[in-house]
Amino acid sequence: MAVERFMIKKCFIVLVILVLPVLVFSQQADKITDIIESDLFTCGQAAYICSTFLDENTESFSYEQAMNWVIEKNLLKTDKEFSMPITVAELSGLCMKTWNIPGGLFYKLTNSNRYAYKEMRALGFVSIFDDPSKNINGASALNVIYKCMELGR
Amino acid sequence: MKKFFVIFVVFCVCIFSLNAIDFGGLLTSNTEITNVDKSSFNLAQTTDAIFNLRIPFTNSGRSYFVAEAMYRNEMYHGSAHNYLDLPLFKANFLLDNITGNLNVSFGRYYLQDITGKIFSQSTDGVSLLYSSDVITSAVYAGYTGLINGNITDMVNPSDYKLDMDSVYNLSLPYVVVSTGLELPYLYMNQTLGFDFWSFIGTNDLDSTKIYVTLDFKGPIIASLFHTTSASILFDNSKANSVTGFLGSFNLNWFLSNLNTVLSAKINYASKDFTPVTANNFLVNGRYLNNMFATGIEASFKPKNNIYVLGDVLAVFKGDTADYYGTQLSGKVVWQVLSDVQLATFATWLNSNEDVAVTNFTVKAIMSF
Repeated sequence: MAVERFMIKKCFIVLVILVLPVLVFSQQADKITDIIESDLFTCGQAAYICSTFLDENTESFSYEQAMNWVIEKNLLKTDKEFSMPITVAELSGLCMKTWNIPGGLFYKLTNSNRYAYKEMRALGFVSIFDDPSKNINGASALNVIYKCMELGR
Repeated sequence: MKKFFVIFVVFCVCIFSLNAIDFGGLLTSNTEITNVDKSSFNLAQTTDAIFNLRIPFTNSGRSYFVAEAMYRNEMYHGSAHNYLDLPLFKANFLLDNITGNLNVSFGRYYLQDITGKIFSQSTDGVSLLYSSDVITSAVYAGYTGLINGNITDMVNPSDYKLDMDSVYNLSLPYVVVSTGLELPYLYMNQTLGFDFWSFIGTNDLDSTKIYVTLDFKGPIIASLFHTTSASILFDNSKANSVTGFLGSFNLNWFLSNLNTVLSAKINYASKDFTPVTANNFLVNGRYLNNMFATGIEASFKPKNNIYVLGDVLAVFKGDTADYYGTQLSGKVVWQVLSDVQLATFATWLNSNEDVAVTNFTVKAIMSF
């Protein structure tokens, strides 16, 4: 009887160990699905992708935690809340710092989102017709981020 | 000019509330050393400060207002000249449907004819451009008399003088009417183009120039491309009525190694042919007129941010086919950073008829 109880306990622990990563990764997969489908890419979503790229330990962060993390690391210059939409210029600034893209003379001098946006435009990562103060949808933002990742490699 | 700038600023302030303004500018420095006939060296320094802004009207950004203001300082022969200009002041609206796009533009902006050798400058006017998969067509109506003649070089009659000391000098006044048509990939991937430009002189000019061009371009095999064009000029003036001809043939071979392009070029302009915009074809300031020029050009990119070009041109007189001279030129452009560019140009013209000219230019551009 004691042996049977031990076996049941053992199976239960193994089951939890097997299922837990699925639950954790499914949360991350849910976040990515969330981002792809979003009409307005938020500061928190941008922060989450950049923080998980830089530090795997942040994968379990919420959007708000990820936002605080990137602000602490001086990667993102904004006064916004995590749930507010990120602009093309702000996303450009975050991507430049995350993937260490060198940038032009004025970006090196000012580190500003405006010149980060001009660099993204020069690289062809954002369209010349894009308004730097415009919000961006999730799919387009992921496209920009993917190009930065490729360049950063 | 002051009133114009005030109106421009008020207009910008009104529009500002509607959408975000994207602005920026350029600083350029052009230092030129010219040696004429192996005598003295002449130094010319040109500095431009350009401020630009763009205001989108729609979310796509394809309907927009764009403007550029420029200040130029030129120093040569020991004297300085200052100029102001508004080379760009344009509103563009895009209307798209299933079959194609219609672009409506009005204001001051750069446009050129299909060859780029007859008319290539800013002018004031309105255009409609329709483009689809099977056809591109455009109509334009404009006026050249309000642009700054000290910045934009037009082929002037000998009795038309510009005051080079003036900050803004009204240019040669023509009413411009044009229409063009392009049929892409018509047959064997060849594109056929047709261009009609008329320049009706106002004020005392009393001259009408009509240019009709047929253009034909496309691949010959794989990476070998050609552009062939023929233009006829009908020039009516008080003095006489002349007909001129401009022919051009370019063969371009694109190679994958270092982005190399090898080109062979032939240009012929008859004695009575004159363009409207005085684009310097030779380093001594001669534009395409009474000339047969043939040459080869090679360009390549040894690194992604460096561009090198060299070309040699043999020039003959258009009417008598007598040898005129040979021009050698080279250019290196270095994109130091995305907003900083350095370039050097060197040109040498050895002529039987005119004096030999050697020119060396260093150019720096910074955008902000």
